[in-house]
Amino acid sequence: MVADQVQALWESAQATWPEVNWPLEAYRLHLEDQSPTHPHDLYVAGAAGHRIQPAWSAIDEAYRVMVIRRLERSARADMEAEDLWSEAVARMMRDDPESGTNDQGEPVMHIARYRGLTKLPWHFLAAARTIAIDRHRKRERGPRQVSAEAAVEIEGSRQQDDPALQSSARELADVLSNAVVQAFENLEARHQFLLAAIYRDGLGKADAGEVVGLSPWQTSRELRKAEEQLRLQVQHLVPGEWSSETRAAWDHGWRLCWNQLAPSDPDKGTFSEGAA
Amino acid sequence: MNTMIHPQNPVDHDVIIAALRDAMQRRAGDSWSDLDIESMAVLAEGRGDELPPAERALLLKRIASDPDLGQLLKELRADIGGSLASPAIFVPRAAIRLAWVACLIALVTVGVIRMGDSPATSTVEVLDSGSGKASYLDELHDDNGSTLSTLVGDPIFISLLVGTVLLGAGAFWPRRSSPS
Repeated sequence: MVADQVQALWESAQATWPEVNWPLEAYRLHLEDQSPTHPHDLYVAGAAGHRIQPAWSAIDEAYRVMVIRRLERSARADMEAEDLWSEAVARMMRDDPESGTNDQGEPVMHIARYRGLTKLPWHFLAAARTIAIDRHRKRERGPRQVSAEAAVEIEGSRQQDDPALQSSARELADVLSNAVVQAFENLEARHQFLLAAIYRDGLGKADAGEVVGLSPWQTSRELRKAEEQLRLQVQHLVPGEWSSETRAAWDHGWRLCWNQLAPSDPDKGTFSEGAA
Repeated sequence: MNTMIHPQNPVDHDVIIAALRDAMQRRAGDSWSDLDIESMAVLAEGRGDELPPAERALLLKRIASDPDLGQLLKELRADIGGSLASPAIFVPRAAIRLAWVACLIALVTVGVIRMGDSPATSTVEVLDSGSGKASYLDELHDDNGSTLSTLVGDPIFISLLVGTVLLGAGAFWPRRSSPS
């Protein structure tokens, strides 16, 4: 970035945060060659990262209430919005030696990693949400024994079958599940995302599409492609011509699988529609 | 691969469901210690194309493999998306369209009336050659300039015109994308 541009950004940022006094040269070094979307926020975050206390006060004053209000909209029962804000700030205040040191030789704080790509309050909001969900999942969910659960289900559904058939079904389920994992990993990133976001997480098609830069009709098209690609990959990985019954079972199983994986907690969103 | 396992044989859908569930749930739950929350926020804003392509692809794959990250993205979209949207106007679009139609009809009606009242129009008496009686004909001076100036100078017509344009924009402006 041209020196004049950096100076203009610095002056403008200083006008926005008059209580924060961070030298131009430090800001220039912090910017490197980036052209941030939110240079003013980058200024105050950079200053805070370099342990300039007025920057932390300014952030707290400007954004605390805004972030807490948004957190309160869908606060989890086990986490207060105010606590989440405090924890997000604490996380941003962690030492981050990899980011270097300030003029006093102290390690820079974690907030210095902020790149100015999103608004600073959204950065804090994302940190707070991450803390909340991460804590919730660690508390609520132990390690899964899915293969065992799946085997029990299969056995339960086939109690009248003979042991040879049970064993064959279990073996086939293992082969199929490995094939699905591999097939899913082979899909391109946005196809993986669309399948998971729409069918697993219950995100609306238009929302999921917007995240990956697709219009609603393009999202529908890509979603269909993703489903087809996954099925073809699985077919490829489990060689042999699929019978019409197997194909029908796949379509049926596909729908039911996503229905079962969809969030069961109504507060956490619901499943938008069937997959196939 | 076991040759006995062959999809040519009919497969019960329970087996497929179990396989799919097994596959999808096996992928859940990585550590988030290295998660770039700013990139998540950018993605939630629908500005993922501003991230470096490799970073974006990795992040999308990571979300796809972790239901909790999917939940995080969903909540962030609700938080950030709600604040990015323009202030919500809770008037149903059908009502705006109805108002627009009414305004349009009123506009046309007023326009016709004003044009009819235009001083450029006069009535002349003529003799009907067939009946031999006197009758009246409107003598229309097609003076567009004076008609237009009459309409432009009419505050009711102008108000209706402005209302029609504004309501039309409100009624037919493309919506922001919304969940299907």
